[in-house]
Amino acid sequence: MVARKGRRYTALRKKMWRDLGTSAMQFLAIVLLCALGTWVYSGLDGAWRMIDLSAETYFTQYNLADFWVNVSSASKADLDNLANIRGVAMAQGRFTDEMDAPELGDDVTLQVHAYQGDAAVNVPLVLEGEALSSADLRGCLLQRQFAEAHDLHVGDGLTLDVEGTRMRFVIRGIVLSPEHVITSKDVTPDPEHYGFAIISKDAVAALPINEVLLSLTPDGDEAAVETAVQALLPQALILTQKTHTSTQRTRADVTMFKNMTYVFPVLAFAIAAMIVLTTLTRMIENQRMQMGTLKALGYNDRQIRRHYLSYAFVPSLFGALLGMFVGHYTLPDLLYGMEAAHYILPQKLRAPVSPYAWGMSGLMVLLSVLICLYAYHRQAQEVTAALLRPKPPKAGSRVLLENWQALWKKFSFNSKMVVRNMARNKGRTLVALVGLIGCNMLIICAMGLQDSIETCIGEYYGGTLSYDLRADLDSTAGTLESYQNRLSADRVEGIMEMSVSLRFEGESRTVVMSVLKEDQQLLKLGKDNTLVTLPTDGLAVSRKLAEVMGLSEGDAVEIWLPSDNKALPFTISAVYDTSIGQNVYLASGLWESLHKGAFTPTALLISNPTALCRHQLEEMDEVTAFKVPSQQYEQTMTVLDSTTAVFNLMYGAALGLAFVICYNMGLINFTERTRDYATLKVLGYHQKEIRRLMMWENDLITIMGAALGVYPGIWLTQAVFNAVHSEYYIFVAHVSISSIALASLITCLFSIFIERLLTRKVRSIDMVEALKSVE
Amino acid sequence: MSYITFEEVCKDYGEGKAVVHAADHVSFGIERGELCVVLGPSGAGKTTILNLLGGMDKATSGTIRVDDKVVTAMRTPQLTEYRRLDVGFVFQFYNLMPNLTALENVELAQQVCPKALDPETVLRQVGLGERMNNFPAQLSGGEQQRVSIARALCKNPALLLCDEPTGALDSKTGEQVLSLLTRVCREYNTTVVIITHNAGIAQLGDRVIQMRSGRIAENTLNPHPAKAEDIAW
Repeated sequence: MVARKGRRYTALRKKMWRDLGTSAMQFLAIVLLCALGTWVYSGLDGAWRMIDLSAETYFTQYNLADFWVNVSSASKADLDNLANIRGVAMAQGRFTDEMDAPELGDDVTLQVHAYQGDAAVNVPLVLEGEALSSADLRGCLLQRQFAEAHDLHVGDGLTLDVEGTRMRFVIRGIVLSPEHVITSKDVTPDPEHYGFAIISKDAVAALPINEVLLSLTPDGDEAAVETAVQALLPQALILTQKTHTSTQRTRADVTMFKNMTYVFPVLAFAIAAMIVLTTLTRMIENQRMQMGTLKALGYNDRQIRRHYLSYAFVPSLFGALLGMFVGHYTLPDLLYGMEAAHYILPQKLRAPVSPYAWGMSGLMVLLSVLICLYAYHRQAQEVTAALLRPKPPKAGSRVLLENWQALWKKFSFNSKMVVRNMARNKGRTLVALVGLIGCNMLIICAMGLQDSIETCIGEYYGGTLSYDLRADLDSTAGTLESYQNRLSADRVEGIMEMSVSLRFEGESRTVVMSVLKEDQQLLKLGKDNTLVTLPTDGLAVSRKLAEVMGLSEGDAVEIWLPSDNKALPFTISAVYDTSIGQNVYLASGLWESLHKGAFTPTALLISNPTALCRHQLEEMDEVTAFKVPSQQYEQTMTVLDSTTAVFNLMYGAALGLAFVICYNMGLINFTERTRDYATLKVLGYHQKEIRRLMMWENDLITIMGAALGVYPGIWLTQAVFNAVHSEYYIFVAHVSISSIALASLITCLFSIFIERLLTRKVRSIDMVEALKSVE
Repeated sequence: MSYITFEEVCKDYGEGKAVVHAADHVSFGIERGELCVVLGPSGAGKTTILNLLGGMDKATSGTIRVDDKVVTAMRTPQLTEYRRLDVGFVFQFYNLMPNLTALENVELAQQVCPKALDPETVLRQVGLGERMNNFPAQLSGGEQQRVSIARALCKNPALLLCDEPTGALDSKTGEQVLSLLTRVCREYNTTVVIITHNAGIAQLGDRVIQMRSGRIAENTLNPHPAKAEDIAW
């Protein structure tokens, strides 16, 4: 009995493998589609987990601070009080400020952290040399990228301008720091001009402790600690890991990838499942007679079912696992490589394949098997005798359009045939259509994302900022009028920026407050970059800040200035539609009525500066830096270029998808209609004419698919922005007409390319074979 | 010389030792306007002869002439042209386009042939005036075969080739179809070649060619062909 059973299975198994061979293309399509579905998911899932694991491991091992508490000067008592807050594990004081390195060049600045005692929070990771002892008054640690850019090594000297005095340090170690995953003054890291160094507080004993780092116990309650810190030091500016730029940007990217694992894979997955559905259904239908034969031979239902389920199980399992592992070992490295151009993480850690990725693969297999089971049951319901007869051909039928005889009669013969065919094979037409819609949608989305980012950032630097030059001033700046009188330019305006703490309903955020003249014209803050007058009765905030903190017009908020122990109450009078930044704007009249000092610009905004003006500014000691909006735009775009990898991935996925779907559907269509085409051949139709007929049908679906994909593409673009929401940008989907046209053209050309591949097959139709007998 | 001549025509399938001679040095002639029945058991090479004659397949060697054309010398585009203008086919299983109505199936032939007859007229002549707008699935076997004949006739071909035209039909509808084919031969002076394994049908032919194992066993003229109604199946 056992032996007999064994023999039966061998025969069936042989049949399966042979079937796999003969329908290789279709099985391959199932394998590829299942792989595609799991590849994208596993890849993006692996990518965010890789960045997340690498960063979080780093943060934990080197004890990243939970709070950066900035004050003008913290006493020993303050430090003790902070350390005693419930939930705080450690409080470390240090002096942090930017210092020039005059020997290394004109515009070279280092952010210097002078630790009191050995660094226990934000511990530097020593790559070369040794750690710094707090007793070492002459030693310093230097950031690796900065050291490389200036060709500095352990043992070299480094001169810093400490409050006007030049102090010389010896580099003891080359380091990285968990709080400097991204070190940049503006947008892009620029190690030539900006980096960080660590020295001992005792080396600069005269300077105050202006920053306290807090790290929490594992069960420390962040919100409670923040409230306690505020109560203790009301004037302090508090940064949390959520608002600390380097940490926040790192985590934002992780979140972005994480959110993308919800959008794209679900899409890829759904489309893959649909194609598997049509392909498998068709294959099972084609096995109809063989199914009947097996039944007639005495195989029981269970054996036959298992045999046919293996049609789905084997290729889908293979495909799903293939996609999962290939995805896990390719995409994360690719995307990490792109991101690491801006990150400084000490090591790349690959997270194990997540349960979610395993789950998705399992789901893919399960789905395929269920689809197969459904197709099988539809066939198996019929009695054996019925199965042995070919399936009656689907009756041709009239389409709705034929009721409109006037139009129908005008149709060419080919058109009539094409319309009927499409109506007859609704399912297949629909799948091909969805494939093309999906393809165009993804391409439009990829292009749309780039368009939108360029538009939003371009609008900010080219529209909102309508000055041509910005000159940053230090604390020795004079009054605005003195500059306006001296400089030769069309218009000179001043802006006074300061970091303040904005508090609303218990939440606090450190934001930049810009004080501007009421009649300023160089910042177009209104909707669509129009000029607005700053409100004189309250604050104006940017849309993103309003969104993040849940502010709306009329809300009462508090502003805490640095080194001030009293809250300034304000109402929100306006929300501005600028696309970038979390900013607060205040009219200079209102500022001066607060009696917190005169309006002294921290930067000059200049339109149409003459060469002389530029020269004058360069001569001024108080001018520390120049910024040109068009250059800032370029810089920002360079950073965002890293996302190009994701876009290219989308193009690839879109075209891959379109190829598998269109080729597969075309092949099924062709196989099923070989007889029809052979008949046409016998009737004396030239190959060209038959090909034209096939193309006409495909062209129609292509055009429809491309057209119908436009709106979903725009929708997807917005959906991606919503999913990926960033802390600093407001992106509005803005897909240009030329992108839509180009995307549609790519979709069409690609479809026509596949069509060419398929219609070549007409030549290979053997009339004698095709018409021999009905099978 | 005859209207159709086969001279030493061979058709081999396969290679080496496994080669099968489907047509083995076949030579015969058929005159214009004749109704010729090619008779033989299954595997005798009848369909091979028909396929070669219709330009659907290429002979391994030998010459086939139809009127003044040498079919065996034609290349693919000329063969298409030949099928399009000179030959009408009727198949055992009709080979109608399932998603075209009877009329549209006939129009399919009309489209490619400049000297085509009016499809509606032809359909009326085969007795399907009332069923023109039906789809094949809505027609009986005999009706479908008549559509198939109408499709062939519509091209007004000089040569009508029928491969087991009654093979899938019962005797009553088969008789109607045969009667139609005889009428076509007589009224339009079309040369009709019918392939069958049914010896009864042979009585209809002006000429009967018997085949066996790829060779011509007999080629006889029948001075008094029977009428379709009179033959026994």
